[in-house]
Amino acid sequence: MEKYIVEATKSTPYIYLNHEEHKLLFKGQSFPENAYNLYEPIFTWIDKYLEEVGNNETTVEFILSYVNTSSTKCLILLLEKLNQAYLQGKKILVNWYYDEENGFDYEMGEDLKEDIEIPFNFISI
Amino acid sequence: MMNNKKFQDTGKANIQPYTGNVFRIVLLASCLICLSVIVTGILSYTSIKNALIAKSKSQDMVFIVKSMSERIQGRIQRAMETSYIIARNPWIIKWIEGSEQDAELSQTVMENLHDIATSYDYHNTFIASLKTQKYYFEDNVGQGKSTAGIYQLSRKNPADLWFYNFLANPQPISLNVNYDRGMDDTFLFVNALVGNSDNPLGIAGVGLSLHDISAEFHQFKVGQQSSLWLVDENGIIQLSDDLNKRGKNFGQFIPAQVVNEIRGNKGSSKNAVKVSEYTNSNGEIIDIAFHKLDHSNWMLVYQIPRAENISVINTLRRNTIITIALVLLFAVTLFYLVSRKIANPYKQALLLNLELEKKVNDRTVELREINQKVMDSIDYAQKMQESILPSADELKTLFQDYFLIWRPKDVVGGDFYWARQIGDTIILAVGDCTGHGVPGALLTMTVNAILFNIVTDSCRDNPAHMLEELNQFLKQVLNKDINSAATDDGLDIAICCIKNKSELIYAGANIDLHLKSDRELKICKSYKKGVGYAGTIFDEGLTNTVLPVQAGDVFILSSDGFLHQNGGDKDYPFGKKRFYDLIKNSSSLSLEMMKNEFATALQEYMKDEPQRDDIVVLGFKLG
Repeated sequence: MEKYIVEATKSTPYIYLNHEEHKLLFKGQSFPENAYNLYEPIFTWIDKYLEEVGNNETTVEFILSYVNTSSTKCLILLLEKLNQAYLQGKKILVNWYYDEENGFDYEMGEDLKEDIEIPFNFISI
Repeated sequence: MMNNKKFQDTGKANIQPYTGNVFRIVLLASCLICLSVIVTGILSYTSIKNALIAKSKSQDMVFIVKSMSERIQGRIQRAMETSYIIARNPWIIKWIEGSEQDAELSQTVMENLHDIATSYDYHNTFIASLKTQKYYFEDNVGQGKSTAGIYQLSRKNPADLWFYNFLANPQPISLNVNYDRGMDDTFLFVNALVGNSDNPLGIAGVGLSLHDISAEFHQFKVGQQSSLWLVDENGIIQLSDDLNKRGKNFGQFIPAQVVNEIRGNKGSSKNAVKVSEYTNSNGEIIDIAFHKLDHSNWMLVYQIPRAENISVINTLRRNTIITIALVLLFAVTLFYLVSRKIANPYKQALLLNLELEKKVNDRTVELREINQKVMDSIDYAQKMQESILPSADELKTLFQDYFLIWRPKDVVGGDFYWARQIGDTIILAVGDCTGHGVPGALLTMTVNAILFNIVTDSCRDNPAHMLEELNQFLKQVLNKDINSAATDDGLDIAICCIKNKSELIYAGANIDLHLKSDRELKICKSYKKGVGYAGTIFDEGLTNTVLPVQAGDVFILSSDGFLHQNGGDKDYPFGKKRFYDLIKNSSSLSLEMMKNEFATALQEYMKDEPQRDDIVVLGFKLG
């Protein structure tokens, strides 16, 4: 298993997935033309990671100022995967960072939080 | 192909400064090479010249003068020894003391003189008696023969003054240059005292022909313009390679300063050869060397023009110039060839580059053509999309007042608005299909057709039901393969059914209805799921909202394009809060003004950022 790191672009976030630190980080904005291409390898990585994570607590951190509709769908899929693992007993924690000046990000977090059971912390930047 | 031509012109223009640069570099390097070679040549020439002058002055001239003076001194020394031998011969002393009367002695003495005169390279041997004032001599006439003779010396004869001068101040030996009457030649006479200074008996000695020594001088000296002199204590040139200068004062030929220097040298150590130089009236530098002879105050002076002295320097200069010229020619030629060889690959690379750029340009033209085709196609698609959107005239008849902002991100887009009036019911929809551009536009066409079907076939006053129908139709049409997340398409939509312009029934999927009454804003929240997606199943949460229409109420429907547009200091989305404030604070008297306020607010927020998504905002008044 290897770390999965993708540098940020204008329309894609910085992605940092580290199995040793048990940390998944998404930072920036996500509005690529084809969001599925961006997130598909992440889904694969997470599937593999969840098999190996064992009893460690995984922290998922989102610092996203904008996410477009198709990226949102991908995030929903991602959280669903994690939610299933959580329901099966894996220790997972989501930290959702938001900027009060933004307004978009907090609401996005709330929408995403609705359908999952994972502990979901809102942290103001 | 216009672009090709233009491009090639630019290419040529690019080569020009490049070759110019190469030429400049070659020129500069050549100049540097020339400069360095010339400087090196001049430096080596100068240093060799200086070394030659130094060597000539410290070694060559000294050697010439020294060996010459040794040779002359050797000659004079020998003559002096011979003179001593004659003068100290006891038979001769006895013969003179006897007033040359003893006939037997006379014969012995004369034989002796004859023997010396003929056996050695003297021109003359003589004995002069003080008592009898007689001068006995043997002159060598060559071929082993001599002639003998006797003169009576007389104080009255100027030619005999040497005799009386010598005896007046007798010295063991002295040198005297004199004209010999008998031989009609000038001789160097070596006079040795017979007897001693207290009791002088006479003078004996030998004579050397100056003519011969002069000839020897001639052989010995180096250079055509040089002079070799033997100068006596009075500065008279006694011996010269040039017979014409003999007997003249050497001050006539060289500057007084040098004369003084030579004169001042008399007392110096005997073996020291002094070297000096002066510039003559012709501006030539003359090197001069002088040496005092042993046993006398005579000086040997040798002078030679600098140009001749180091005449080898002329050859050296010529050779240096030829060498420099050859080296320059060779270096510059080599450099030129090398730089051309080096420059060539660059040139070729440049040409290759031009060729590649031409290819790129051709491709660009091809692509432009293809792009043009695509754009033409999309432009036509835009016309089609616009044709299914309600026209401004239609909208005017439907509403008391309205405004519309419809801005696809690209030429066509996924955002749309839709309206139809059936009887006294207006059915109005604002939607945002997945994606934008052509895929979005394709979906809008489908949605348009389905909506048309729904309102034609079934309900006209139940938007929630219409959403459900739309959902089912779309799923059937679009998302047959429900397992593929990549092609899960659908739309956000708000539908309003307006009856008699007095009651508005709203249902929305991800698109809220905003109601502005004066400065009040009421928001009818939409159902939080899109229509047509594989996973969308509407439950009881999807309901209609019935709103009575008040005079002055402004209803606003907007896709997320406006709210999601990034901009501002932190590049955040426009966001709901700003949007709500915009609605609240906008003037609702004229919806044309409201449109301007919306457009201005958006522009001021996004500034130079590109539009992120399709945008549609529809605002309307019913009464």
